[in-house]
Amino acid sequence: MKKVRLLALVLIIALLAPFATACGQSGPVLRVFNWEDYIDPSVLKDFTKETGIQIKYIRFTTNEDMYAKLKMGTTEMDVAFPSDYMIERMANEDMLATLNRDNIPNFANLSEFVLNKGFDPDNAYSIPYMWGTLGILYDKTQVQKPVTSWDILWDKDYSGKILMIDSVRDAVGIALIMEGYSLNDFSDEAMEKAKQRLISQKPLLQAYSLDSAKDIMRRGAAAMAVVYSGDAVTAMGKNENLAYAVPEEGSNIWFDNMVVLKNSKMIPEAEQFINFLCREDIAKRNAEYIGYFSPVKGVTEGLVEDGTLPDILPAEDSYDTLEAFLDPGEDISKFDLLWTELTR
Amino acid sequence: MTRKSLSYPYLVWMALFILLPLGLIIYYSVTSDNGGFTLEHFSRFLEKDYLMVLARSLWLALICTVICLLLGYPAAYILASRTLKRANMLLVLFLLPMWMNFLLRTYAWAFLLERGGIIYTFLQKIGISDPPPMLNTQGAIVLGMVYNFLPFMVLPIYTALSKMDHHLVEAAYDLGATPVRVFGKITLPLSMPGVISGITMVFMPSASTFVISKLLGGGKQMLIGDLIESQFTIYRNWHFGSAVSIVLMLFILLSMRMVNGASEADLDRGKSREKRRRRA
Repeated sequence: MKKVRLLALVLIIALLAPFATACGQSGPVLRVFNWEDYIDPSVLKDFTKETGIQIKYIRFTTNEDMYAKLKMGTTEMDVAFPSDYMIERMANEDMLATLNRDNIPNFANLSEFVLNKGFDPDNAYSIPYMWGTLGILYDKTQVQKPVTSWDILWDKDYSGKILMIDSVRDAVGIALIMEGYSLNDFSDEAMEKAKQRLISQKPLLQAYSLDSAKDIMRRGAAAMAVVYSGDAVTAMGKNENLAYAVPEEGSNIWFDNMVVLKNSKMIPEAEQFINFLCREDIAKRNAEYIGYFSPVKGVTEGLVEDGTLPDILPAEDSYDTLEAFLDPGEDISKFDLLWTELTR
Repeated sequence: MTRKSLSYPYLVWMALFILLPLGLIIYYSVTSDNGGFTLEHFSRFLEKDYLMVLARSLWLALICTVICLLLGYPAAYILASRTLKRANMLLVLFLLPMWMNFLLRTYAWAFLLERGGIIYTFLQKIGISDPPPMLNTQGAIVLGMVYNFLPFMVLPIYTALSKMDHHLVEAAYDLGATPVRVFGKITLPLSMPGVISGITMVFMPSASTFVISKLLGGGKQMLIGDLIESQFTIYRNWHFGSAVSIVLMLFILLSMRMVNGASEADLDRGKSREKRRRRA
């Protein structure tokens, strides 16, 4: 009888064991929260070699996922890599530490163009890690017309061969730009017009797709797709008939920046890590590994020159047409209503 | 006493992973961001667009369940019939696809159905020059659901049928019953428990699925599972997402109740008919 009880007890303890966390590592450990597959792993080893600071590296898959874990306190972190609008939100909720630039001398390596964007006007909380654009990936063998405007996504000649992006913020952003609004205009009037645009587009679409778009394009099963520049690089590397264009009306420019969490007890070490990632040779290795645009001067241009990356960097005279996302705050519910009506 | 203590680990398990999460969902569904009690999330769900999403989900789940039943019952019947050699082998073949990851299986269908995919090319080869789109339709969603959930229908029916006392069937034949009558009077009623659990196990996941509509439906038609997922992942509205989950749970409970009620009524009717006959 005692044995049975003991067995029951052991099973209960086994059930609860995963909830107890063991801490017994020696030396300082910096906790880094980054996107899945978003750093050259050897860079982390080199950082530990150079500074003696151990790294505990944890991954997330969406901004919302990362935010929820940090907010609920289930995951405590020192450095994180949120995107533009999420940085604004986290700063507004007092989750981020103000960065001490003295600890980040490599800040000087960054190109002007990626700094002081609306979501973090003076880069007080965040330093760019990677950036990119939103544009149209198209198959040159199927699309003869020039791809210079978002209008082509509404062209009946390509009915059934268009993939619209399955991300409400980006899809609505495109519609807003076409209606002449800023992609951060959340007024009822602007949203209504954007909704009508998207409803008129729906019959022409093959599908709304996000992660699968680049594979569908690679196989040639669609003529064009709205994708992020990073996905365009991946797809173009596997199918030479593909090309990528950012329409002249303007587009979204997105950022994944590095931030330090306010409740971190290792803020100087975290800044040291950020500084390390802004070093030119390190930034180059990461950009080569990931295939996104690095904000460090000359890095991406260098990779384009030696043919590692296709030349899809936006031209300097188009910088003014590119706009970064701001946090919609409460207005996020308008996107919910719009998308539900679109796909009901 | 000894036996009781063995159930404690399961009770702890239930409390931690079933009751606690359920309590949290209920809590979120009736509170607002500032923590006060509210029913606004439920009243918001009454909007036309959301109800259409719910109706479509239940409708597609119903179609899927009916197809699974029509395909699954004969399959289970054949598998359980004693004349069949190597029934075990066939059963394994039935279950084999389930060893593969759910997402992979669904992706595979997307490859098969897409424009320029294998089925498309085959249709072109046999003379249909411009096959209609197959991927990104409601039909594709239903196909994906049937494919993924069919084993959940076959297995319980198979179990019920193979545990059935075969002497009853033989006795009925001895008394001169026709095969149709034997099936209607003996096999079908005795397999009803399997049918009921099959219906339950197919209807529930198909009413709440959210990946299949994305992968095979092209994201053009939202299902209730997508709505719930997006509330947590995009719109940061855990309260509304929880409320929709509760509504879905209630609808599933209700439909299960109806299925169970119908089958019990069936049994009762059978019994009273029996009594009447005996009295006569």
